[in-house]
Amino acid sequence: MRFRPRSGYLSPVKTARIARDWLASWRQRDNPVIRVLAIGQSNMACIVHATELMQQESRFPPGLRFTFVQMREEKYNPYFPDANNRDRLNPAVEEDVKAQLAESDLVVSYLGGNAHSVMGLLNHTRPYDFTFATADPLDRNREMVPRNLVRSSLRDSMAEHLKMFSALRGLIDKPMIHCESPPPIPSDQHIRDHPGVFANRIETKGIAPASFRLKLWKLQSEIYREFCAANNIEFLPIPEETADAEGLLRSEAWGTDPTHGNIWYGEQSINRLARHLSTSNR
Amino acid sequence: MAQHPYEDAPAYAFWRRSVADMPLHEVDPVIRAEFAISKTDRVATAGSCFAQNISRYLQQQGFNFYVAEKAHPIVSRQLAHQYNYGTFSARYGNIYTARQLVQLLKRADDEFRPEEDIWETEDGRFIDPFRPQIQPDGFSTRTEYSADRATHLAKVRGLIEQLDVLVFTLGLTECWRSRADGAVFPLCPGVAGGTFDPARHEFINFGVDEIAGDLLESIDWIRKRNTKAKIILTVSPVPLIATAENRHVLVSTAYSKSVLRVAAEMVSTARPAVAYFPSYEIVAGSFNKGRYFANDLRSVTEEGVSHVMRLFLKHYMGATDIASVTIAPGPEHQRVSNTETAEMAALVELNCDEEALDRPTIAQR
Repeated sequence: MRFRPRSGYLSPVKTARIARDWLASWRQRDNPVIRVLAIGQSNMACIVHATELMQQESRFPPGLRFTFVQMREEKYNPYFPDANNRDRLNPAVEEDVKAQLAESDLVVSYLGGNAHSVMGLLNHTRPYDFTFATADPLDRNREMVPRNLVRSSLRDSMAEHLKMFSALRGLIDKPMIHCESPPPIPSDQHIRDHPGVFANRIETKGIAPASFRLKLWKLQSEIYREFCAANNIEFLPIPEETADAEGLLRSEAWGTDPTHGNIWYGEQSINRLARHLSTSNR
Repeated sequence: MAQHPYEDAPAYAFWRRSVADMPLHEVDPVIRAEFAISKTDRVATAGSCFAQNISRYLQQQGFNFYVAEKAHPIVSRQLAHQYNYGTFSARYGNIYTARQLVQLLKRADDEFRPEEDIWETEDGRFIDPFRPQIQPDGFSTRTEYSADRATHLAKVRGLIEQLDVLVFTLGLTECWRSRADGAVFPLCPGVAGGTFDPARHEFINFGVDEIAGDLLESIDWIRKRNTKAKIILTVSPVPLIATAENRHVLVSTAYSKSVLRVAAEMVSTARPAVAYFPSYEIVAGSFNKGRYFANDLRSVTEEGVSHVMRLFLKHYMGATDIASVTIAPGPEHQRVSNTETAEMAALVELNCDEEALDRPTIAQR
């Protein structure tokens, strides 16, 4: 049975139902192992490492098998290299993804997820704030920028990435799930201790308040949810156990830079996917 | 020796010599500027949608179009434009009437707090009644709305204190106001937000004395805070899209434009450093045989706008290198076909929220 992607907007509920129905029929086959083609960028690194560790320690979910396509590999960049056809995806991506698809039942995306950090990890020269939800207070010492304007600006900054994501989706004739990226790390100290590429700027600009960064991350997730709904992709939220009461990343999940999750986070994420696939089959 | 007063009159005083016999693009009713504007002078704009053209040309020609309320740097130029940053010097949207201007100034100084100052939509968004289309999708929360309005009014205060020249384009005499406190709305409640209620809202068509009075009050208010401010008044040549008077829209248009023109004359002679610039005459004048209006007989073509702005830049700003403002004459048939697309593109860029009046829901009323 082949999964046929559909064009046009489908609600997240409908998208989930289609994927569930497909998985239910697939489960009736003899071999119950789901072959997952994972495609991602930096947020996939913790998944790769967690997979290795879990397999070594025989904790990897028995019903899953992962193959990874790391989109940051040099051969895949730039994503649209043809100056005469800016919509043509890099042939190396097309070739490798198509080849892997033949051996896959499901595609899981760990693409993107850091646009919120680019825009708001550090304080802006003109510090700003916005309301994400009705009850959100505004920092009166910061310039207020209307929510939809921040959202549209964030969406603009993701345009090239979403174009690539969309082009990839066009190649894939299998069910697809996008995993939400990890929320921000609340600790200024942790970020200062592991500044990564932001080292020089952290000193001059300072780290933006965690509550502000969380709002940007939520906006980003909102954009992904919308994108997924429009592209027949199921959106899978982060594992609940990885977030604190505020919705920020729990310390157990902090990676060794200001924005990424660690192996523990990767493990929770894999287990979250396995649980989701198993409940989808009910 | 002159036998009568007309014998020594200059050529521009004669219709044949200055209008009928002149090539279209050389008709110049400005004659002289009341004052000069330097490249460094901060020129602010406000008024009806036609005033947006002035902002656009000042920017294009490298003059100091003063924008006090700028979009945050995270916002792209295109997005800022969609959200009406830089359309005028502050994000007040179209100011169609002189009463709207004077009330804006008073609101900026907290001298006037309209009772009806927020509209909530059915889907929980918030609209500013005094700039109902400033935010394409409304404000997300009441908090956001209040914060944005406070920022806006503070920027208006700053603008008034810092500007060197204000170009104000008078657009309409008709408007709707609150019965409670006389607050005037740029658009009738119910058109782009709010709910129209005859018990709370009433129509008013301002007369010449009221408009002149509002303009004088505005100018005096500005000069109290900025003694050096110079003012240029213009009248929008754009006809009314609809009239609330029970009469033909053509008649209402003639009335409104006549009143605005007279009020501008009264005010420009009543105060020093207040000039009248004849953009209305350039666009609506019969010498161009209607050519400066697009097919809807209402929108001003780019050719018409460029004629206005060429003269504005020439007389007030001493611009000599204004080639880009000049439309090169060409064969008639070629001009029409070649400019249409460009004109339409420019026209749709203008944000005339009056257009909302002509939507079917209003026509069905």
